[in-house]
Amino acid sequence: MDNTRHISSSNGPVDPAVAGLMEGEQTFETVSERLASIVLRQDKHKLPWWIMLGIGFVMYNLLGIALTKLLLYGVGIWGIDEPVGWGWAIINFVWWIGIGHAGTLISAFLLLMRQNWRNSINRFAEAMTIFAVLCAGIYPVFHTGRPWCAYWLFPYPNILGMWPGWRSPLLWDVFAVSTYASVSILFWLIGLIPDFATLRDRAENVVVKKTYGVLSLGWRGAAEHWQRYETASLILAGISTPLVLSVHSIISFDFSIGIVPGWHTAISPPYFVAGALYAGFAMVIILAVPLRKWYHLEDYITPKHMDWCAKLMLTSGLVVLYGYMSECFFSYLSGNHIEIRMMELRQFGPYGAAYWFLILCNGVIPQLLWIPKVRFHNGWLFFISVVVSIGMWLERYVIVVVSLTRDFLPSSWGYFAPTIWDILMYAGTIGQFIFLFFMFVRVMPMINIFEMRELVHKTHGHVHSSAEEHSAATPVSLPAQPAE
Amino acid sequence: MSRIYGLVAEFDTAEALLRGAEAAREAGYRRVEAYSPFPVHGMAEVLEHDDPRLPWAVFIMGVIGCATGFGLESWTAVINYPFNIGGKPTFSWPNFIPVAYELTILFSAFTAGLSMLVLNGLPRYHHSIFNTPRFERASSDLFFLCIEARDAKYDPEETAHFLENLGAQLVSEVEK
Amino acid sequence: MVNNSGFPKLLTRIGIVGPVFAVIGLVLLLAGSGGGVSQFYHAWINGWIFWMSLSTGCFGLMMLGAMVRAQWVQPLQRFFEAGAWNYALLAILFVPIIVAAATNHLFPWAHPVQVAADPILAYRSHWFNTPFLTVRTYLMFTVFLVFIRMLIKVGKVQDEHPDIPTRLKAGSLRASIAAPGFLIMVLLITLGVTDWIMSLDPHWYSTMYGFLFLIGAGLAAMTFGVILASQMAIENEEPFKELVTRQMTRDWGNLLLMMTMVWAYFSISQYLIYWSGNLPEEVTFYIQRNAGTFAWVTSAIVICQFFLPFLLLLSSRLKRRPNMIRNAAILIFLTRIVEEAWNVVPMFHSWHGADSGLAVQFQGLISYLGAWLLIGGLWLILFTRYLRKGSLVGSPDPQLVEVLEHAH
Repeated sequence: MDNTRHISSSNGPVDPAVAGLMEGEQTFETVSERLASIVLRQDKHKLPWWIMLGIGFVMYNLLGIALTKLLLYGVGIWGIDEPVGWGWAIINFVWWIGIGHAGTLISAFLLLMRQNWRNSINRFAEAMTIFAVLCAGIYPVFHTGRPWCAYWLFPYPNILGMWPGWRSPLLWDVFAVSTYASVSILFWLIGLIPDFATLRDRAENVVVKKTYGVLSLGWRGAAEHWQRYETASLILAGISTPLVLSVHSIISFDFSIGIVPGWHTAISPPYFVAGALYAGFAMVIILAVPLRKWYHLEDYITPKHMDWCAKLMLTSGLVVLYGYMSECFFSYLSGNHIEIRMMELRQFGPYGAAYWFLILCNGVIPQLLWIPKVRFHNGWLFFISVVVSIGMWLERYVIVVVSLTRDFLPSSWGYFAPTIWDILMYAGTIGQFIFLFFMFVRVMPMINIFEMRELVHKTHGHVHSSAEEHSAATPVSLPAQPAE
Repeated sequence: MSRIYGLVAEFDTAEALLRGAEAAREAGYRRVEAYSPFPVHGMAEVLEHDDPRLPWAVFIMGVIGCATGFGLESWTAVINYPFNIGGKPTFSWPNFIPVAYELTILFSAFTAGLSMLVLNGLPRYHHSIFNTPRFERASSDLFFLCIEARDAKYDPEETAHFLENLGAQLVSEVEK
Repeated sequence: MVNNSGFPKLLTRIGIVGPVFAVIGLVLLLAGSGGGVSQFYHAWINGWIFWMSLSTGCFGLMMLGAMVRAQWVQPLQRFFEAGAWNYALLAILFVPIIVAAATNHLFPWAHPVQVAADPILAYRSHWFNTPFLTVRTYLMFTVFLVFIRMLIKVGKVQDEHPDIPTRLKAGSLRASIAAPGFLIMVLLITLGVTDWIMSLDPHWYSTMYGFLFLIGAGLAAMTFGVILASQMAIENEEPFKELVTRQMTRDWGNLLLMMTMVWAYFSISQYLIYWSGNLPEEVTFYIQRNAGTFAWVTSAIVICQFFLPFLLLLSSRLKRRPNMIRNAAILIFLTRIVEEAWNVVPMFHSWHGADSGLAVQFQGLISYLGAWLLIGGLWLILFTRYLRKGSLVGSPDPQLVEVLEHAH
C-alpha cells in the first residue's frame, strides 16, 4: 500500500462536501477503467460471484416450485385460514417493498439535498429497489388466488360494466406499486444512459459494443443534452421523493383505513415509511459490505459512505421506535378497552415473544450505532443490518397476525402458523433477489461512472483552482493538499 | 465544403473546455457545442442552453394526470357505476386522493424522462461528431469543443487557428 | 447600555411593537373576558400554545441546524436561539393554566362531576391530574432550558473562538448535544401536546398529533426567521445584505416547500384515516371543524398553507427573489396563527356536545386576540432583548472557514 493513499486531513483540509468520498489516486481514466472493467471483463468476477449466483439460482428455483404448486392447488397450501386471511404473503409483500424504498430515497432525496456521497451507492441501491419491488409484486398477485385475472384490478371498460372500487386501499396499492415500479425503472435507466455510452466506447467485443451502443441510445455527451439531462434528473428526483412517501403510506392505509384494532391508528403512514427506510438502509449496508470487499471498491465506497448509511438507518430506526412507543402509550392512555386489550395481546399474548424480540432487534440493538466505532466497523454494521432486517420482518408479522387472530367475535378467534409453502416461497423470492442482483453486477456498472468522474472533477477542481499548470490528467491524491 | 461537419478541438480538462467555449462565444461563433464525459458546471450558461419547455411539460402533464385520475374515479363511482360500499357517499373524495396522486406522479415522471430524450433527439443511430478522432474517450476523460461548418463565421483556416490558440491538444476537421 | 447604532431598524421596531402589543393585549383580554373566568382561560391557553409552538419550532430548528451544519441556518441562528430561550418566559406564563386546572376549569378531566360521570375520564385521571401535569410540564421546561443553554454556550465558542481547532471541536460537540436533544424534545413535546392540547377534549386522541404539532411549529419558526432575515436583506441591513444570496433564498424556499408538503402529508393522512374509519370518538374532531361556517376556515387553511405556497415555491425563478420568499413566508405564518386556533378553540366546545358554527365557537374573539397579543408582546420584548446582546447572525461553519482560509 503506497503512502499517498491515505493522506490525512492534517496535511490540509478539503471541502467538507466532498472530503473522504474517494480514496487513492484517482483520475477520470482510473475511475472509468476500474468501474467499467467490472462489467467488461469476466475475470473480475471471481469465486464469490459464482457462489452467490449459484445460491441465488438454486433458491430462485424454489420459487418456481412453490408457484407451480400454488397454481395447481390454490392458496389453501399456505397457512392462511379464517380468521387470519393475510399471512406471509402480505408480510413479505410489505417487507420487500419497504426494502426498496431506501434505494429511491438515496437516489432521489439525497440528489435534491445535493449530498455528494450518494453518488457511489445510488446505482446499486436503485437496482436493489427494482428487484425488491419485483419480489414484492409476486405476493399480492398470487394472493388474489386467481393471478390470471389480476388485470381485473385495473380500470378498463369491460362487458360487465363494472369499475374497480376506488374506496379500497387495496386498489390504491395497485396504482401505487405499479407507478413506483415503473418510475423507479425509468429513473434507473435514465441514470444508466451515460454509463452505457462509456461501456460502448470501451468495449472491445463487437457484440458487446453493439449491445451497449443500442442501450446508450446514441448518447454523445453534448452540453445541450447534459443540460436537459440534469433538469430531468432533478425533476425526477423531486417527483420520486414524494412518491416513496406515498407508496408506503398507501401500504399503511391497507391496515389503518379499516377499523381493526391495532391497525387503525393515525401515525401509521409516517411510521410505516420510516420502517421501510429502516429495512432498506439495512439492506443497502448488507449489500455494500461484501460488494466493496469482493470488487475492491473501498476507494469509492469509503468508510464515510458506510457511516452516512448507518446514521440514516439509525435516524429512521428512531422514528420507528417513536411509533412503537406512541402506539403503546396512546393505547393504554386512550381508555378505550378494545385498544387496551389489543396492546396487551400484542405484548403478553401468544405472540408476545415475537413482539419483544422485534423490540430488541429494532429498538435496542441498533442503538449501538450511536457509537462512532461501530459505524466504522464493517462486521458490526453487517450484523446490525441483519438484525434490523429480521426485526422489520417480525414487526410486520406482529402487526398482521396478532390483530387478525382476534376477530370481533370471540367464537371466531384463532391462530396462525405458516406451512412449508409459505417458507419456500419466501426463500424463493430471496433467491430471485440475489440472482437478479448478481446478474445486474455482471452486466451493468454498479457504481455511477459519470457521477464519479464529476466527483473527481469537484475534488480536483477545488484543489487546483488556482494552479493552472496542473492538468486534469495528472493524478492527484485525494484528499489532497490545498493549493498555496 | 458540404462534406465537412465542423472543426473539433480536444481538451483534457473541463476548465479548458469551459474557457474554450466562452472564448468561442465571445469570438462570435454561434454553432458551438461542447462534449464532455460529465455535465460541466456553468457550461449551459455559457452556451445559453436553457429549455423551459421541459419543466413546463412536466407540470402540465402532472395536472392532466391528476385530472385524469380524479375525473375517472368520480365519473365511474358517481355516474357510471354508483355502488354503496360501507355506507360511504358515492362521491368519497378523500378516498379518491391516493389514486389521483399516483397518476399525477406517473404522468409527470414519464413526461420528464421521455421529453428529455425526445427534445435531445435521442435515440439516434449515428451522429457526425462520432467521426472525430479519439471521440470514444469523450465518455471517459477527454473534452471536445466543436464549431460547426454551418456557423456563419466558420472558416476552415481561421477557425482552426482560433481553436489551436485556445490551448487545444488536437484540432481536427470532422467529416459528415 | 449597548450601542444601538448598528441595530437593524426592523428589530428596533419590533422592540417597540412588543410593549404596545402587551398593553393592548392586556386591555383586550380583560375587556373580552367579561363572559367569565373560563373565557379568560380559553383565551390564555390558546395564545400560550401559539407562542409555545413558535419557541418549540425555534428550538427544533436550532438543533437541526447544529446537526446538519447547513448554510441555510446561519442567518437565522440567532433568531432561533432567541426564540428557544423564550421557553423561560413560557414557563412563567404557564402558571395561569395550572391555576385553571387546580380550580376545576379548562380541562374536562379537572371537573370532578364530569369525571365521575365518565368512566374513560375516570380511567385517564391516573395520568391527567393537576399535580402530575404540573410536575411533567416543569420537568420538561427544565430539560429544554438546560439543552438550550448548553447549545447556546457551545455555539458561542464555535462562532467566536479565535482558534479554529477549538471551534471545530465545539462544532462537533454541539452536534452531539443536538442529536439526543432533538430526540428528547420530540418525545417530550408529544407528551406535552397530549397534556396541553389533546386533553382539552375528553376522549379524542391521535397518535399523529405530536408529529403534526412539530411540523406546524417548525413551519411557524422557519417562516418567522425567514420573514425577519429577508426583510432586513431587502432593507439593506448589514450582515443580511450579503448573507441572503440567491442560493440562500433558494434553500429557504425549498425547505419551506418541503415543510408545507410534510404538513399536508401528515394532515391528509390523519384526515383520511379518521374519515374512513368514521368512529364516533375520532371523527368528531373533523365534524366540528367542518360544520357550517367553520368549513370555510378549514378550506382556507388548506389553501393558504399548502396549495398557494406550493405553487409559489415550485418555481425556481420566484425562489431567487427575497421579497417573494418573504411574502410566501408571511402567508404561511399568518395561516399558522389561524390553524393553531383552529386546532385548540373547538376543543373547548366539544364536550358540550354541540357542533356549533364559527360564531358560537369564537365567542369572545376579542379575548382570544387579547391573550395572543399580550403573550406575544412579552415574547417579542424578550426576543429583541436577546438579539441586542450579541452578533445578529451565526458564523459560517468552522469546517468551511478552514477550507476557505487555506484556499486563498
